[in-house]
Parts: sequence; C-alpha cells; structure tokens
Amino acid sequence: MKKYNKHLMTYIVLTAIAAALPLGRDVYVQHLLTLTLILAIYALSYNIIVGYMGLFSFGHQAFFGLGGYTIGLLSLGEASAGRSALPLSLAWPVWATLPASLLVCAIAGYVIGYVSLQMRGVYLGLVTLGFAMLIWMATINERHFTGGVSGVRGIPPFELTLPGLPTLELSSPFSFYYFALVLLVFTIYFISRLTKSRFGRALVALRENEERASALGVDAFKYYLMAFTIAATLAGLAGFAYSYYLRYITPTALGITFLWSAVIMVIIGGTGTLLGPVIGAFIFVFVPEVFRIAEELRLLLFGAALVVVIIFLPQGIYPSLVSLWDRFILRRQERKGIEGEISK
Amino acid sequence: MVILEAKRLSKHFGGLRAVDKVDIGIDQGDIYGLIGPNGSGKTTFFNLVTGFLPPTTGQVLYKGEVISKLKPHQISQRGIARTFQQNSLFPHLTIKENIIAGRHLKTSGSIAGSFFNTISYKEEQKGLEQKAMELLTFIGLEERADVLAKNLPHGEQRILEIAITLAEEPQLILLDEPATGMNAIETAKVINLIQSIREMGTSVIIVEHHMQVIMGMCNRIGVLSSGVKIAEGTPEDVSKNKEVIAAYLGSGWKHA
Amino acid sequence: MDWALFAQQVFYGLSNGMAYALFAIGLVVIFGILGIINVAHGEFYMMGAMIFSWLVAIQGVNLVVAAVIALAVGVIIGILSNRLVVQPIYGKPSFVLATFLATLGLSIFLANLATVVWGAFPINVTTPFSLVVRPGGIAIAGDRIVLFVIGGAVLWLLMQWMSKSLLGKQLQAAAQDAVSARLVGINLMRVYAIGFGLASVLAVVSGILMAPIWTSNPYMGPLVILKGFIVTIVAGMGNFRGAIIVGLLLGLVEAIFGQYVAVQYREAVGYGVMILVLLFKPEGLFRR
Ligand SMILES: Nc1ncnc2c1ncn2[C@@H]1O[C@H](COP(=O)(O)OP(=O)(O)OP(=O)(O)O)[C@@H](O)[C@H]1O
Ligand SMILES: [Mg+2]
Repeated sequence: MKKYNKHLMTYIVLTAIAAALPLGRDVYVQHLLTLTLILAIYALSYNIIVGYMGLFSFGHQAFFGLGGYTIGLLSLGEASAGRSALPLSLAWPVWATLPASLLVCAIAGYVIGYVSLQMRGVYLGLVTLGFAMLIWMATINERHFTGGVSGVRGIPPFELTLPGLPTLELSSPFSFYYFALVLLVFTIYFISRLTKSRFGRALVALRENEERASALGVDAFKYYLMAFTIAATLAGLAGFAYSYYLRYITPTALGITFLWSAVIMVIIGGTGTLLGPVIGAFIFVFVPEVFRIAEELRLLLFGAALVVVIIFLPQGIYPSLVSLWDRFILRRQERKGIEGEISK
Repeated sequence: MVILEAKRLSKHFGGLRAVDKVDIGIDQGDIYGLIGPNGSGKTTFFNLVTGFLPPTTGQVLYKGEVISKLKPHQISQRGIARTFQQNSLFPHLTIKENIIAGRHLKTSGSIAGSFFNTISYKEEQKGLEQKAMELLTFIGLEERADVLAKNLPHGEQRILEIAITLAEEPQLILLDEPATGMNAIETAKVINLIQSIREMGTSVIIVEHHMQVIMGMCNRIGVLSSGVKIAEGTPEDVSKNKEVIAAYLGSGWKHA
Repeated sequence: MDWALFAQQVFYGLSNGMAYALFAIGLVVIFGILGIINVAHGEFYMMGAMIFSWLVAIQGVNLVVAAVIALAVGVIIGILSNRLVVQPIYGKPSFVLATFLATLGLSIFLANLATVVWGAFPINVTTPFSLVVRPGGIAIAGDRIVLFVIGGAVLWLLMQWMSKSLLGKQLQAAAQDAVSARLVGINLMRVYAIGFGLASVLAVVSGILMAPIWTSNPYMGPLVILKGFIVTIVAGMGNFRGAIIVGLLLGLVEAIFGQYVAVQYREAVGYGVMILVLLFKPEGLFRR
C-alpha cells in the first residue's frame, strides 16, 4: 500500500511539473512541448507492442494516420471543405469525431492484427509494413476522398461544447497543451493499470516465455490480438490529437517517417517502461532544438543514435538510468550498512 | 477411474518414429513413471499429451474427451499442467510473479476492474499475493520472493517450475525430468514435493532418470524404447523384466 | 489486343525486374550468410545511384571512372557497416531483431547524410546509351538494354563464382552452418566481411544501372528495400535462384498490372502478394 502511494506521489509531482512547463515560455517552445506530449502518446502506444508484447510491428504509423484522417475528414465543414477540394462537409463535433477515430483504428487494428499475428519476428514486422504501405498508397491515390498528397487542410479548431458551460476552444499551442496533457495522463494511467491487470500479466508472461505461458493456459493469439488492437486505438488517439492540433493532415502521417520516429522514440527512450517512451519523445523533439540542429541533420543524428543505443544501451536510456540509480542507491545503502556495523 | 488415455498414439518425424503406437492409461491418483533410454520418445509423448505437437496417428483422451486436436492453452484449461525438460521460467519476472503467472486460469479480473481499482480487483490481488506466498513458503523460497527467476540456482529453478504447476491446481501434472542436475538435498526436496502432490490426490506422470525417485514414488511404471512401450507394471515387475534390462544395457542408459 | 503495347510492358517490366533481382540478391547474400536482414541495403543502392549520378551529371566525370568510384565507396560503406554496426551485436540474444533495428538506424543515417551532402533534389543522369529505338512500335531504351546485359552478366558471374570458387564455396558453407564452417577452419569474420562487401557491390551495381532510368534522390532507399523484402520473402529467405526469378516476375507483374488494371496501384501488387505468401506459405515459393 505504501509503495502504491509513493508511486502515486511521483506521478502527481511529475504531472505538476509537466503542467508548469509551458508557463511563461514563448509560443514556439509551447508548440514543441505540445508536440512532445502528442508524440509521447504515440510512442507509448507503440511500446505496448514492442515493450509489453515483445513483438515488432512496422505498420504502427498506419493507425496514427488513420486516427488523424478520420477526424480530419469528419470534422470538415462547408467553408473548409471548399478549400480542401474534398466533397465531404459533415462538420462533426469533437464528441463524435473522437469515438469515430478510436473506432476506426480499433477495427483496423483488429483486422490487421488478426491476419498478421500468425507470424513472429521480422516476418510479423514485414506483413504489418505491407499493410501500412497499402494504406499509405491508397491515401495518396484516392485523391477525391483523401485529398491525395496535399492531404486534408482546414480542419476546424478543437471546440468542445458542453451543456451549461462556455464553449471550450483550443486554438493556441498553450491551451492545446493542457488537453494533450490530459490525454497523456489518461494514457499513462490506462497502460499502468493494464499492466497490473490479469491481461497485462498474461502479456508479460507471453513476452518472457510464450511456450511456458501457453502451458499455463494463456491463449497467446487472443491476448496478442487484444493488445495489438489496444495499441492501434491509442495510436489513433495520438493521431486524433495531432490532426486537431496542427489542423491539417497529410500522407506523411501514415508514411515511413512516422514508423521511424516511433522506433526511435521507443528504442532510445526504453522499451517496456512507462516513462521511457515519454523521455524518448522529449529527446526526439527537444535535443535537435537545444543544439539548434538543422532539420535534415536531425534524423541523421537519430539514425546514428539508434545504432549507438542498440549497441551500448540495448534496454534504452530510461531503464539504464534506473538501473544506474538503483546501483547507486544500493551502494549507498551498503556503505551505510557497513558504517552502522562499525558504529555498533 | 481412468483420467488420461493414450490410444495407439504415434508421432513420426520424417522417417523417425519418436512415439510408436503407444497405449497408456493413467488412473486418478496414479504416480506414473515413464522411463526409457535417451531419445526413446518420453518428451515427445509429453508434447503430444499437452498439445505442443499434433499426433501423426492415434489420440489422447482426457476424462473421455479427445484432446489431441486442442492447443496447449486449451489443454491447460482442462486441468493438465506440465514442466519442461529444459528450465522454462519467466526469467525477468520475480519468483513471486512466476508463481502468480501460474494462477492465470484461476483468476478472472478484467481490465476495467484494474482501471477503476475496484474492490473485487483489490481482493483478487490480495488473494494472489497470499496464495503465492503460501506456495513459496511451502517450497522454502519465501525469503527470496522478489528475486528475479533467472538469478536462482539451477536446482531451485526446477523446484520453482514445479511450484508454478502447483499454482495451477491441476488434476494431472506431467513432470519432465524434475530432478536433473540436482544434488542429493535438492533431489530429496523434489521427492517430498511429489509426495505432497500425491497427498493432494493429483495424478502425476513423471519422466526421470534418477531411479531413486522413480522406484520410491511410482505405483506404476511404463517403459519406452525407440518410441515403443516395451513394458508396464509395478516397480518390482519392471525392474525384473528381461526386455527392460536388455534395452537399458544395450543403450546409453544412465545409472542414477 | 494491342501486342506492341503488351510487348512494351513485358520489356519494361522485365528490365525493372532485373534491377529488383540484382538488388534482392544482395539481401539474400547477407541473409544467407549471417541470417540477418540489412535494412540499410536500400541506402547502399541509393548511395551507388547518387554518387554515380552526381559524378557524371554534375561533375562531368567519365562513366566508367564514376562507376568505379561509386563501387569503391559502396564496398567501403558495406564493410564499415558490418564492422561498426552489425558485428558488435551479432550473435547476442535476439540479434536478428537487434540487427534489423540497428541497420534501420544506419539507413536513416545514410538517407539523411545523402540529403545533407546532395540536397533533397533528384539528380537526373544521361549516358551515351540514353536513346530510344522503336522497332515495330516498341520503345526500347538503350539504358534498359545496358541494364539487361550487365545485370545478367553480373548475376551469371555471381552464380558461377558461388558454386565454383573456393571463397564462394566457403560463403555457402558459412551460410549453411556457421559452427561446422568454423570447425573446418573457415575464418567467419572474413567471410562476413566479404559477404557484406559483395552485397553492397550488388546494391551499388543495381543503383548505377538504374540511375539513368529512374531519377535518383536520397529518399529512395526505403522504396527500394521494400521491393527487396517482397522479392526475398516471396522467393523464400536465402534462396538465390528464387530471388532472381521472383525479381524478374515482380517487375513483369507490376508492369502488366499497371497497364491493364490500375496504374496507380502498380506498386501495391507486390505488397499484396508478399502478405499472401507470408500468410499461406511463409517459407516462400522456392525451396532453399
Ligand atoms: N521436433 C522434433 N523434430 C525432429 N525430431 C525430433 C523432434 N523432437 C524429438 N525428436 C526426435 O525424437 C526422438 C525422441 O526424442 P525425445 O526428446 O522424445 O526423447 P526423450 O525420451 O525425451 O529423450 P531424453 O531422455 O534425452 O530427454 C529423438 O530421436 C529426437 O531426436
Ligand atoms: Mg526428454
């Protein structure tokens, strides 16, 4: 019980720090912070597959993009539809677009997972990549429906109207930051409870030893499929936020660069932990900014960093930091123990 | 009452007949020893019974139901547990978590229960902790409950494996060489453990090269040689059987 | 039916297919010998094409000299990649995925390095062979003939070399069984280095041969590697002859599909086939 409270305290403090971060910063930094949170949700969703299932999908970007496209297309109103040259003008409000994009991603995740999860290892990666490429290609080609390479533009700002309350409009990076923070906190809480559930235990058992777990009655396919679907849905949540925040979405969002960024954030940050992918997202967005690295040097840097991390810190940065810290604490305790003996 | 029945069970790997038309019946409460030289098909027999391999011909019945087309997890759901010849644990989980993994089928908590941290979720968690600690006390590992499984010495890993199957509360346990690589003290511990499994009324099939374990524990013994069952009976019958003696002398049988 | 049009697509498809085969064979060499997938193979191709195009089109260097320089740089990149990226993790637990990810990192690195060096604009190169003749209404580009002739010769030499020369046999022995290969005294580190060097030569050769046909840009690596995946998966991982046949077929099927079904989904055919093969015949269509 004590341990639980300590965890809770840590998270409350971290959330408070996160809430204070954008205060008094210029708009550009606020924008980067907001982007970090959205990408962190995406990285966390990918980490469910890589870190908790212990499998590799190379098609996760498709779900991020699908989430973004779903809200983009459904929320277009008449005015903006004209600009996008798209026939749609549904103008769905937020409370309808949110469940719609989650549902689309859940269904796509279920179907693609159902077909792909017969495979393991690199093969699983390649089938999922195949599906993602097909979706990407269709998005580019079906111009009349998706806007083709120029994507969906003129997405209306995020506006939530609740009865009896003033309309909540999030059109600045600053206000959107707090919405993204709410989503991120929800995602972290959700995943943390997931891992503590019977479902999460079964998932980790499968990751550790699939043969043993199935001898204990764990239905590998069922659990993998459920986890894959959940991961796809959360990627859709990130895509949803991304699309509403930038107010446009292009095929890049379901293309190969978003696969790269997911891999980079999760592997560099650290798989199988809650904070690893968040730290990964932070590094991904901020390190190039801090060192004022040009856009094209940024991926170059992360490509090299990916190699270095895999060779030298195969667990990723965050878990390595934790074990370093543990060792430090342990040594301190040992020393204390010795001193205690002496003083006696 | 017969609970497990193998009928003309065969498994061929290409031209190799790893298990060849084997008939075996296990009664409720049996401690059945399955012995035979290296490569005689004992592990393959286990894999057939637990669904890790599909039989080439023949079938396996559990309580009258044909289970030879089921997947491992489905067979486990019917109450058959097993250990593996090679240590097969969850290496990066703690000893306690390993035991809790064995309770998968005995729990039912939903994701929503965990998300809202409901009373029933908390109670199930508490029950799991308790059950795990009981079992760990039983095998004498309670003080190392939070040690990672991979950090246990070999002998204790094997004992932990048996404890995981006990956590399943199965009706039939298949143990594949539980005492390999163990010293005398650990072997005695395993014998004790199997003894208490018998007292619970659980049936056991055990593959073992330690004759001390087999002869002292089993009420019936079956002998495989090149996939064929060449003898079956009480320990005295089998140890006097000429064919058995010939099969062992003629091959690389290890004396315990 | 317009037969000239059909013949046109067959020629067009088979010549693309030759490039796919050449490229995929390099992936097969590395998979066969080390049992890993080199994601950066697409960037080796891109490097070959870019260096060659840049030297010829921008620097005005002679064709042959440019090709030799591109090959030399390619071999160096290949050997360094093996030494610095693959060998440090090779043989460790789950190294197949680890090397996949590490070479993915390498591919991101190389693609963006190329952007820094050459900018993101495509480079077009023309050669003395860049002319089109039209016998019977079929447009035949000289560059595609060159691709056929040199590509075919390289593949033929490779197959001969693999089966006849001592080194080739050692490569195959290492591919079959690393442990026994070491026992009979084959220096595996050397074999791995040679395998990587050879594979990068093949990637660079296909890049050079395709440079006058497709325009080259730093971001084409992923598109090419995906073709390579399709070919090697459909053929069966580690299968040489299968990869050549499937490579040619993929080019052919894409062209026919593009002409008669839907040109914008030409590239989708390969992914569809790959997914189907993975699901129903994951060991591939050809036995090893
Ligand atoms: N998956 C498999 N594929 C091919 N052959 C196999 C396979 N599994 C087992 N065999 C072969 O079947 C035969 C029986 O093997 P099995 O492991 O069942 O023997 P065992 O009685 O358990 O021997 P040991 O005492 O060494 O554990 C052996 O010759 C083995 O090589
Ligand atoms: Mg065995």
